[in-house]
Amino acid sequence: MVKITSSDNQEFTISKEIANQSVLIKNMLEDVGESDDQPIPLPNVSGAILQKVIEYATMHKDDPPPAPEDETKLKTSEDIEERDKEFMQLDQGTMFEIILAANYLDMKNLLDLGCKTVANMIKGKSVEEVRKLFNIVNDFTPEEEEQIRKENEWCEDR
Amino acid sequence: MEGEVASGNTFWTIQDDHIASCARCREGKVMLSQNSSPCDLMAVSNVEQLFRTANPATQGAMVSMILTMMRPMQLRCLAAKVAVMTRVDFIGRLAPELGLKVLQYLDAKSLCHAAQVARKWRCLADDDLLWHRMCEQHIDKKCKTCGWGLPIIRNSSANKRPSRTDSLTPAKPNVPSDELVVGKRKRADSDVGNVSDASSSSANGSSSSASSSGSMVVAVPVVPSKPAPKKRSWKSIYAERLLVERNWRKPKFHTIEVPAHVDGIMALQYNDCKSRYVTGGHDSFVRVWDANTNTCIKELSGHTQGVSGVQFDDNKIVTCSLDKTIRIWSMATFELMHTLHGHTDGVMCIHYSDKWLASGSADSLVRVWNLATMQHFTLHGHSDWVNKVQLYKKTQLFSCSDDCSVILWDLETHQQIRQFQGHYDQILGMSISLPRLKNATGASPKLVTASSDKTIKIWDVDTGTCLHTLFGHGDGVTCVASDTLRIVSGSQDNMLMVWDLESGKLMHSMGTDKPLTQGVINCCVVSDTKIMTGGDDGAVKIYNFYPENVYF
Repeated sequence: MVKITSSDNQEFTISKEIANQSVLIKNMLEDVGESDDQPIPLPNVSGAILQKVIEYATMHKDDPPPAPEDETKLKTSEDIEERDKEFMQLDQGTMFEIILAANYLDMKNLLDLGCKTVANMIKGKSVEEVRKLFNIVNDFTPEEEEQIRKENEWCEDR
Repeated sequence: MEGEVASGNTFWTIQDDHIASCARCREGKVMLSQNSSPCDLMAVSNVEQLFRTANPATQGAMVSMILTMMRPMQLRCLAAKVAVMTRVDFIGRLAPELGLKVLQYLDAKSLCHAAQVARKWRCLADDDLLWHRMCEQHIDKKCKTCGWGLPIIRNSSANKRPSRTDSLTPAKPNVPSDELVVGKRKRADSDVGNVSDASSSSANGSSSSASSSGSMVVAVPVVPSKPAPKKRSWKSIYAERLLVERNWRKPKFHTIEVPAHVDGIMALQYNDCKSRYVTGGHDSFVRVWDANTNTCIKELSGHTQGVSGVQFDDNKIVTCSLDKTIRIWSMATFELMHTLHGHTDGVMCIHYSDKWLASGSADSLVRVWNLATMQHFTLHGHSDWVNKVQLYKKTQLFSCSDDCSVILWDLETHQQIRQFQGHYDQILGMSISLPRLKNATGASPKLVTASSDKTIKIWDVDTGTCLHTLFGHGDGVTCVASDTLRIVSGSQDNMLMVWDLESGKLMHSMGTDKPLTQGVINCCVVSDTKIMTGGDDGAVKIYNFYPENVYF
């Protein structure tokens, strides 16, 4: 078993196979060796988020290790598993924190899942719908906006 | 419900101004209505002070307590506020590399929308890498996700878009440069003999740069510190290709008709990169044309009968004629350099690549000349006119004949490798489509044949099996041309048809409209933006799919 502590000092005890899904923790464990039962501090992740991350890792503990990045491979966000979709039914803040945590903990599958989920939220929406969805203020001047609209007009009719 | 009654409001919904106030909350300014008493202001200020100075645990307790004291309508209002406040501008707040990781999953349209959301979004959504990948996924092959394939387009300057000398190849590793692609095409993929796209491998596009870079030249003195022409963004390249492809699908094109010969046109070759085409007519003349102005640059006379085949590159023009000869002319001086004799009847077709020049004749023989030594050998096998020849993979050759067969020859052993049997009438036209890029669907090379039996057939070159038979023409099919995406065919029924290469489906038939009819079509060429045909009426018809007056 491995002990980890969150930024707000919550301690979690998890099995090694779950811990190893984070390349960051895996490398740390290899560095410090087996005998050390000091908890591993994860100062960039809060307890609440760590809880969710562990939930994800537990769900995927029997998965094969992720394949190395293949740049030529087609990028698609349509291949999310049903259980992952459910897992990602979160408020945007939590989703955001999970993406940051997955990036920090170096968990490729979770990071991909987060990015795909956000991409799917953007897909097929109009400019105004995207702004509304993420509560974004339009910071273009009217002139710029018109210019950029023209620049992107070609995409519309298909 | 009870709460609403208790609060004294008759009917309460979340008001717009409550939502609007969220924006103010977010900025950290709690606003009270204008008629608040100083006492109220003091109270709010006190609570604020208390909350601010409390430790997180106490803050939590305070919030919990306030929550339990809130009326339902206040709770609902709060819920709405919280919902808005907890939204996250992912692209704006994530590190750029993570933002790109999100955006890489978007389709072109969504990416264009993303670029219009806000400044930070635009910065990422216009990223050249993203669009480079988009181009890679679509250009010159069909995307597996959306089913669209986009053309390469070799010479955009021919379409009068200035400052684009580099238009096709922004320097990026692992991208097949157009030069490379053109080189490949030169080898075998182009259309048969007289309609092939035998571009030289010299830096493609550069030859036309001088004429098209006008606007950049003007700009230089004004801003002397600016470096040489800017690389075109991959996004604009993608946009250009998408618009062209859209026009192909609609179909939307503009046509130009060039009266080229007084008698029918028998042969035509067009080169996108060089902005040139060459025609051969029944009137025994060969004419060289400027594709930008559609004016005749030079007329080559010498053949004594109809010119049945033409092919050219930077250095030479090769022509063949019913007068039994093949002639090689200098592209620089237009002088006749060689006349090849050998066939005992009219020469129907030629095709050259590297050192080999192949010819097919009405004497039913195929002759293959070594361009270095001018010696030749003969391939016996056909029993009737040989209508088209096409060199393939440096050491192989296709020939199609009035005897209804196509033969693939090995030029080293002079033996037949394979026959393609299936047409039941003369095979008049032939074209080969090579898959150019890795991961292209339908990865094996394809042979396309046109026959007097009114059909077109698509064959697997490697196995000799017929993949599709295309029905549609009402009379003999005289010519075909193809690229990686489509097939164009011309027929004795005066129609020009466009087919999808992969599925064999008819996409468009053209020539039914009055101004486009030209009688029998004898030869056709397809490029990424154009179809050109030559017919019995002596005119070259150009169908240009490049969009007019676009902004991207």
